Amino acid sequence: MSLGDYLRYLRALHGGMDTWTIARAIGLEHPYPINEIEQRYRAVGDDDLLAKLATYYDVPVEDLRWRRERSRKAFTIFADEAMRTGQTVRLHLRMGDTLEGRITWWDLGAVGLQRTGDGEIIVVQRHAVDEWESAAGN
Amino acid sequence: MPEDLWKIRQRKKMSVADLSAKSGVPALSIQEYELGQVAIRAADLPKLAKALYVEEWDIKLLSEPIPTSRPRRPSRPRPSASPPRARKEKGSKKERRPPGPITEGQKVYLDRLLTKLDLSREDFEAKLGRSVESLTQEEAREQLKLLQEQVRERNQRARETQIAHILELGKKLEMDRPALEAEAGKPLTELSRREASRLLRDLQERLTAKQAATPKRKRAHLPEAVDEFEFNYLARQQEEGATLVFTLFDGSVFSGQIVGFSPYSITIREPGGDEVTLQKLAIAYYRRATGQGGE
Repeated sequence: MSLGDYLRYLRALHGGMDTWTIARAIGLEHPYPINEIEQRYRAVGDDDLLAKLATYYDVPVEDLRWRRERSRKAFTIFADEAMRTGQTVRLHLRMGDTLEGRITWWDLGAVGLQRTGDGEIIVVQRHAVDEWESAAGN
Repeated sequence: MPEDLWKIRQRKKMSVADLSAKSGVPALSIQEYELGQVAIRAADLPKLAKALYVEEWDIKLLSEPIPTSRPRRPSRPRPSASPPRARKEKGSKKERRPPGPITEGQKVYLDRLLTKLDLSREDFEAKLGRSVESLTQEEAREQLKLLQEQVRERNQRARETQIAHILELGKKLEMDRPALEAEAGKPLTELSRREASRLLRDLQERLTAKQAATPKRKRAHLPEAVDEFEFNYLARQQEEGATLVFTLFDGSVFSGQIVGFSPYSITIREPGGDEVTLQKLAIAYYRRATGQGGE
């Protein structure tokens, strides 16, 4: 799950308040930096802001930093490359599951993964993917 | 034999405004040159010579001022009996007052210009080879003009964004800063805006040529805003009446046939007949129920 997706998820968990409320609570004049992280596909958000958000949501700041590096764009590039080359990939999901297979399609919200072994198509929601890697050579 | 600027101009039947328009030298500067207040600046001399169709050495750098009085025809004797007023002798030059020392105002202005040029009074005097106090008003005026010019030039230095852009283009052309400075003939920070923009144009042209020579890389189609693949998949499953199994983040599992779906949710009918709407944000993944085949 990218940082943007994760922050939206945390916001929903905390009652779904708007970003103005969060901005005021952490001492920002306006919510644009938060909106930017939530909406952009690239890695955005400076360390100071992440520290404030981590305190606000009571989560480890390292977690936010780690997710920042795993932006939607980064996953898109990986998925696109994997699909074009037909390589086997491993997707590690937030709930601890790992799925292995070949990506047959991907789009805004999900990835079509042809599972290794039974060839079954599993539709994996992008926001469920925490980490990804190539299974080649393993 | 060099001549006064005004003499050449008048011979060419040009007004100061004409000469200014033709040479690009401000009319005020031309007037100052013609009045002999300052020497013609090195940068203006070729422009004036070109505009007047003469050689540079045909123009005196410091003109004698234009005589203000013209010889008059002898006038008829006036009928009045009043005694003739004393007149200046015709053709005589107005006696110029000996130049006074630099004024306080000039000193203040000089210091202000030196500050803008990051120069101390001492640096300036060392360059000048004499003290500021020893300057006459006229010399001070000349020095002030030169300093003004330098300030103007300095203000016209290349912008930081231009330098950053030059470095950026240089990187793409595999040229580091020393290479770019060698190309420019001076440090990048000393480029004027015009020089910087010329260099930028040149680098840009070279980059375009380089890019044209290299085969175009096929850009990956990254449909970040496309959600048709999942849409198509769900539509097909709904059409076929397939049973799908959904695994949620909390580990719970739901299965059923698709009744409808949107970008944010999927509604299914469970085997018992209940309809359940699953928010996509709660879903981790889903698949066709085992034994149903399909893609």
